[in-house]
Amino acid sequence: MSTLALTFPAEVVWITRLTDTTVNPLDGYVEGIRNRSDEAFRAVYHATVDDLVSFAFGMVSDRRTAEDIVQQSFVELVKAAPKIKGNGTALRAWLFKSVRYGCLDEYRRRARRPEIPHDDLPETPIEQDPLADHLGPDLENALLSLSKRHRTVVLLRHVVGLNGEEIATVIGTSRRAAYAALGRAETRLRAALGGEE
Amino acid sequence: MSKEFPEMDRVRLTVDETTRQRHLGSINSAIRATTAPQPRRLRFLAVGIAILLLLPVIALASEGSVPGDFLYPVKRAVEPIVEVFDVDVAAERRVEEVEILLDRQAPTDVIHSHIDEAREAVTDHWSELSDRIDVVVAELDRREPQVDGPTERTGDQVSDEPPTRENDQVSTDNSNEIDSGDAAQRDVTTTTVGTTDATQGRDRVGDG
Repeated sequence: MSTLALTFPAEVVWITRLTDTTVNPLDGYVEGIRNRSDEAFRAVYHATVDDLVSFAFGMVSDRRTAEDIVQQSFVELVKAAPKIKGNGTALRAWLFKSVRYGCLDEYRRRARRPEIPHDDLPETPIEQDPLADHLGPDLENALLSLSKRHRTVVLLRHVVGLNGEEIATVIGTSRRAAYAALGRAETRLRAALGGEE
Repeated sequence: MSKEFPEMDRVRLTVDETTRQRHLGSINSAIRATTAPQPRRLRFLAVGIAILLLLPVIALASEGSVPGDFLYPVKRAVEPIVEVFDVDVAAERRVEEVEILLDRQAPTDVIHSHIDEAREAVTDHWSELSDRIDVVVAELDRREPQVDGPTERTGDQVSDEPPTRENDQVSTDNSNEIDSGDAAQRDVTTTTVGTTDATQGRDRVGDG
């Protein structure tokens, strides 16, 4: 079955798999978020924080940094709350988009950070929760071999479970382009894991 | 979560309670900071700017007002500023107001009280304005019996006492002092204004 499906272009395969339209549990909190209600923020936070932190963790490979990025995204949401449009799906997409920007900022910060010579590193290791501890070196290397864009779509789909429409919103592209990116990313991930293409 | 890549489930994390409380604390702080009322100084500044912007508009809007209108006090308050550029503005305006009140069929006592004010304002100004007041007084007298009746006018405007021969005599004497002007108008003026017109009649001596 999977062999047959993979013979079709990636767009065709993903159109059928990602266009599920379910009622979003966040729909009832959007108005409260716009009004900056404590209860609405608390409910949305508890409903999304695990997904957001997991996504950020997959992106930046560090749990503490991922949590800080998510925290900052919610603070940004407080500021932007009156301008939030649409339903719960749009709200969730906004949060993931914000976390994605936070992760990209983190990449830029790391790129600017000067390399510390190995001899100057502190004796006591910094408390971290590296990705390799969770994934194992094979999956971590496979993920790191992907581009930032492909890594993003793979994490959004296979860790968080977003559909194609939401992924398109998060990465700021059309639905068709999102499907195509996801198909290519999966192919490369599969190859990196040593599976069938 | 993922059937195609079951390994990816290992990326999933569960945020512990301590971290959740820390995050919610910062969210609540952000909400309080955003919804807190703006500093008082900024509000005062905003109100001040709004008033400064509104003042010229209100002053312009009050230009056509007459006694009894809502904006008339504004017109009078702004007048000293306008007088810096046009010394005759107050006199002209008082006479115009009397004429407008007459056109609007305002109550006689209101018009009369304003006539007095107009006469005070036109003192030391050109006689044309005085003549215009006289025309208003004449017109007022012509329609007065139909509108208010003589008793009301006499009681309110001329004197607290009923009209007497003496009052009439004074008026006649005043009319004799006027050097020029229409005879009929003079008669009307003196008969109407009575005692209060005595001074005004003297003011007009020499105008012609």
